[in-house]
Amino acid sequence: MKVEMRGLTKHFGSTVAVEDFTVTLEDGHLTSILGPSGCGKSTVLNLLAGIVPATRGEILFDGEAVTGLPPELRGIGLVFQNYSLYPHMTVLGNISFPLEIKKVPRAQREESARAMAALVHVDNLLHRKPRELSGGQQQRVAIARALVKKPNLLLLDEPLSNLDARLRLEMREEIRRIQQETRVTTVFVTHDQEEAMSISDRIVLMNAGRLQQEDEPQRLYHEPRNQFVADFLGTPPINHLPGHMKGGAFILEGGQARFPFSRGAGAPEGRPLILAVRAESAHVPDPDEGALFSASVESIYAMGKEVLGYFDIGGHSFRCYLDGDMLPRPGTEIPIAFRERGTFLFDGETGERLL
Amino acid sequence: MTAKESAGLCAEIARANRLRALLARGATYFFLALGAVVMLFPFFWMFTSAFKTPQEVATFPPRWLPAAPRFENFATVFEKAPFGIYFLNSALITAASVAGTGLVTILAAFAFSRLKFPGRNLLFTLLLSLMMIPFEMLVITNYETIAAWRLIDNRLSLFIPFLGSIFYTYILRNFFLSIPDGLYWSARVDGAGNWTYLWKVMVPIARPALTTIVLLNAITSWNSFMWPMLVINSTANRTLPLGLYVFMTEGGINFELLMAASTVVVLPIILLFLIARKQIVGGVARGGMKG
Amino acid sequence: MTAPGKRKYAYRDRPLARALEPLAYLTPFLAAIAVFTLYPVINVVLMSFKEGYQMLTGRFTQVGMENYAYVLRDRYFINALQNTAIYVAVVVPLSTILSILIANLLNRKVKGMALFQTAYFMPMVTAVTAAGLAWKFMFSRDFGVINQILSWFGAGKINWLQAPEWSLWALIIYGVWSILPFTIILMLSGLQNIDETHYIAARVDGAKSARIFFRITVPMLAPTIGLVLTINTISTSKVFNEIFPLFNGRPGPSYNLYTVVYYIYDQFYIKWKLGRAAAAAMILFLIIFVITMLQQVIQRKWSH
Repeated sequence: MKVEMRGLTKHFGSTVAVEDFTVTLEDGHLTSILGPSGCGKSTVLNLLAGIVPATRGEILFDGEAVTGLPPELRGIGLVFQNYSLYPHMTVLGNISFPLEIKKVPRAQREESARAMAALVHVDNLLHRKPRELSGGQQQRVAIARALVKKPNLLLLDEPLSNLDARLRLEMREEIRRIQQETRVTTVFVTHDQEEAMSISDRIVLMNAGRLQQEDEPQRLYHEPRNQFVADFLGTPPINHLPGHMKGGAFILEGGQARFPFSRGAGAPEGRPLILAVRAESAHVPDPDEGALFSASVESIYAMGKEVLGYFDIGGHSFRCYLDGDMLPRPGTEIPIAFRERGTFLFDGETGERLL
Repeated sequence: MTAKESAGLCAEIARANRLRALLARGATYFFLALGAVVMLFPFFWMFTSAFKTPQEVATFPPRWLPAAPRFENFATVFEKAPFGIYFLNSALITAASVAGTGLVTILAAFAFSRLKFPGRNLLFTLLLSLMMIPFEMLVITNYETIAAWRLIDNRLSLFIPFLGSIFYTYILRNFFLSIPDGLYWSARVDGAGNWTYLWKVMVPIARPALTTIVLLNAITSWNSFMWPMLVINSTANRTLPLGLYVFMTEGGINFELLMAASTVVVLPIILLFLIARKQIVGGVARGGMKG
Repeated sequence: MTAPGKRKYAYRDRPLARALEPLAYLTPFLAAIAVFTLYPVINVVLMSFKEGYQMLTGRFTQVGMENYAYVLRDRYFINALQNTAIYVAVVVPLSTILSILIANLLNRKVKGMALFQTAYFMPMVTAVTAAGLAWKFMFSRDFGVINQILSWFGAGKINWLQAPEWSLWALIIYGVWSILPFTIILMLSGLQNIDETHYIAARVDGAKSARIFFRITVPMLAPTIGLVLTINTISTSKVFNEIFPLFNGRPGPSYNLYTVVYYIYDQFYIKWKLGRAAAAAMILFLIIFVITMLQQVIQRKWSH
C-alpha cells in the first residue's frame, strides 16, 4: 500500500512535535524513520496509526484520506518498543486476538495464527504466557500479532531497542526477512543509524519535528542535503572544519591554516562555512599527489585492519583513517589530503549544502 | 587474653545469643498465642455453645464443652425461624450487589482512567471528597428515596443504594491506571474499540483488583445490618443478620439456639475468609474497609 | 488505486458520539452517586433547618435553627454525646496501643504466622449481630463465661448488660475486640513499609529491642498511627450497630446508652422527627470533620 503524508503537523500544546511533514512511502518498501530522540519520529508513527490526531495536514492510504480514522479501522499492524503483549493470553491467544475481534471462526483464526507463528519461528511456544518468553521471543510474537490480519501497513516503533546487542542483530535480519517474505509496506522507527542503514529501502531522517531528507540509505550517506544529515550519519562522526573562502583558498577559522580549495570557489567570499569531511575521505596522499595541509598527530588508535588517527589542524581536531602499516608518533606532522567523495561544504549559518 | 581464652569467650557469646534468640522466639509465641485465644474466644464460645443443651448454657460456672454435641439445636433454629429463606436472601443480595456494583464500578473506573473528557480529574477529586461523608448522614434521605420509589420491604432496596461506590471505583481506577498505554493502543490497532478492550483486555488483567473489591463488597453486603433493619419489614425479605436479630428479640434468650443461629450466619463468611485471607487482608490494608 | 466511489476506509466521524462516550460509561455510576450520595448530603443540610413537618402533606412549614436548638438541649442527645465521647476516648487509644504491640509480634518471621494472622483478623469479617450475640452470652451475669473467669481472680458477679454503670464498658470491650483486626492490618502494613535496613543499622549499633521499638519502630510508624487514629475516631464515633445485639435494640438497659448515631436513628426512625435527626447528623458530621482536621494539623506539626 502506498502511504502519503501531506503537510502533516502535530502540536502538543505549544510544543511542536511534527511540522509540515510531507513524505510518500512506496508500496512494499521498508522505510525507516530515523532521528535523535525527541525529533518527532514516534509522533509520525502514532499519527500513521491514528493514536494521536493530526493538528494539520493529511494522511492518504492508496490515495484515500484516513486522517481522522480511528486506529481500529486503519487495517494496520503495530509493534511497540516493549511489545505490549496481552499478559493474560497465551502466545496463540495473542496472535489470534486481532482475528478474534474480527469474529473470524475459531478454527480458521487458529490456523492463521499458527501459520503466522511459524513464519516468525515461535510455533513451538504457542501455549506459553508472555512472561515466560525471552525478549526476542516476545518481539517475534508481537510481530506475528501485527501481521496476522494481513495489514496493509506494518508499523514498528523502536522494536529492537529493548534487546541485547547480539539479539538485536539477529532480529534485525529477521525483520528484514519477514518483511521481504510478506512484502508488507513497513515503517520502522529507530534512533540507530546503523540499524536504519542496514535494514531499509528508504530512510526518512527527521530532526526537531521536520523532515531533513528522504532517500535511499547510501545516497543519504553520500549525498546529504544539509549539515544535520551529514552529522547524524556515519561513525566516527564527520569532521568539521569551520572557516571561509578567500581567493580560491579555504581559510580555517582562527587564521591558523589555509589551503587551496578550488572546488569551493562558488561559495560567496567571506561567508562562514563548514567544511565537512568523513574520516574515510581524508587520507595521507602519495608523494606525487600533493598534500592539502599538514596536521600534527595527537593520538593513534589501532583497531586491527584499520588505524584511526586524531589530529590537530590549526586548533581544530580532526579524525582520519590511516593505512594499517602506518603508526606515526604523537607530535609528528604528516600531510593530509581530501578525496572528493565524502567532502561537503555547508553554509555555516543555515547548514544548507553548498557543495 | 590467649587464643584459647578468646575462643572460649566467643563460644560463650554464641551460646548466649542462641539462648536469647530462643527465649525471644518463645516469648513471641507465648504473647501471640495469648492474644489469639482472646480474639478467637467468642468464636469458640459461639461454636461450642451451639451444641450445648439448654441446661448446659444455663449453669454457673458455665460448661466449657458440651457433654455430647447436640445437632438438634440447628434443626430447632430452622424450625422456629425461616433461616433457609434468610440465607437465600443474603446470598441473592450479596450476589446482586457484587455483580451490580462490580459492573457500575468497572464502567466508571474505565472512564476515569482510560477515556479523556474535560474536567475528568476535577470530577474525580470531588467524588473522592464525598467519600468522607458518613453513610449515617445519608440514611434519612435514602430511606425517603426508597420509600418514594415504593421499594420499602423490597429486596431490591438492599443493594440499589450501594451501586455507585466511590471507594471501589477508586481502587479499580488506580489499578487500571497502572496498565500501560501500549496495551490499549495495541488493542485499538488490533481492531478493538473501547468496549472490547475493556472486557477482553483490561478486566482480565485487573483480576487481582477485581477480586479485592468483590471480596470486600461480599463481606460488607453479607454482614450489613443497619440498612436492612430500616427498610425490610416482612419475614420473607429478611437477610441473615437481620433475621438473627429478630430471632433474638422475638424468640427470647435461648443461648444454645442463638449461638447455633449465629454460627449459621458467620460460617460462610469465615470460610470465605479462610480461603481468600491474603486478598481480603491486602484489600483492607490498601484502602481501609468502609462502614 | 481504489476505484472511484468505492471507499476502502468508509468512516463517518461522529464527534458528538465520541464526546458522549465517556458519559455512557459514567452514567450508571454518576446517577447512583447523585441519587444516593450527593442529593442526600444536600438534603440533610436543608432538612436540618426545616421545621414543622406536616405528616399529611409530607412538607415542612418553617425554616430556622429550631432543630439544632432542640437537639443541643435534649438531655438524651447530651447523654449520647457523652457516651460516644467516652467510647471514642477509650476504644481508639486502647485499640491503637494493642494493635501496635500485636502487629509488632505478627511482623516477626517465625513459623505459623499465617495461622496467627487468621486468628487475629477473623472478627473483622464477622457479622456484628452474630458476634454481638456471642458477647452478650459471654457477658451474661448468671451464666457468662466472663464472670466465671473473673471469679478465678476473686471478683464477684458483674451485671454487665443490665447495670447502667457497667453497660458502657461491655460495649467498649466488644468494640475494642471488633475494631482490633482492622487496626492491626493497617499497623502491620505500616510496619512492613519500614525499610529493614533501619533495624539492621540499629542492631549493628548494639541497640536493645525495647530501644529499637521506641526509637525506630514507633517514630517510623507515626504516619500509620496518625491514619489509624483518624479512621478509628471516625468509625467509633458512629458506634451504633453493636448496641442492637447487646441490649435487644434498646439504647442500654435503662435508656442510658444513647450514642449519637442511635439518637439520629431514634429521632428519624422511631419518633419520625426528620429535622431533628438531620440536625443531629449535621452535628455529628461537624464533630468528625473538626477532629479529622485537628488530627491532620497535629500530625503535620509532629512529623516536622
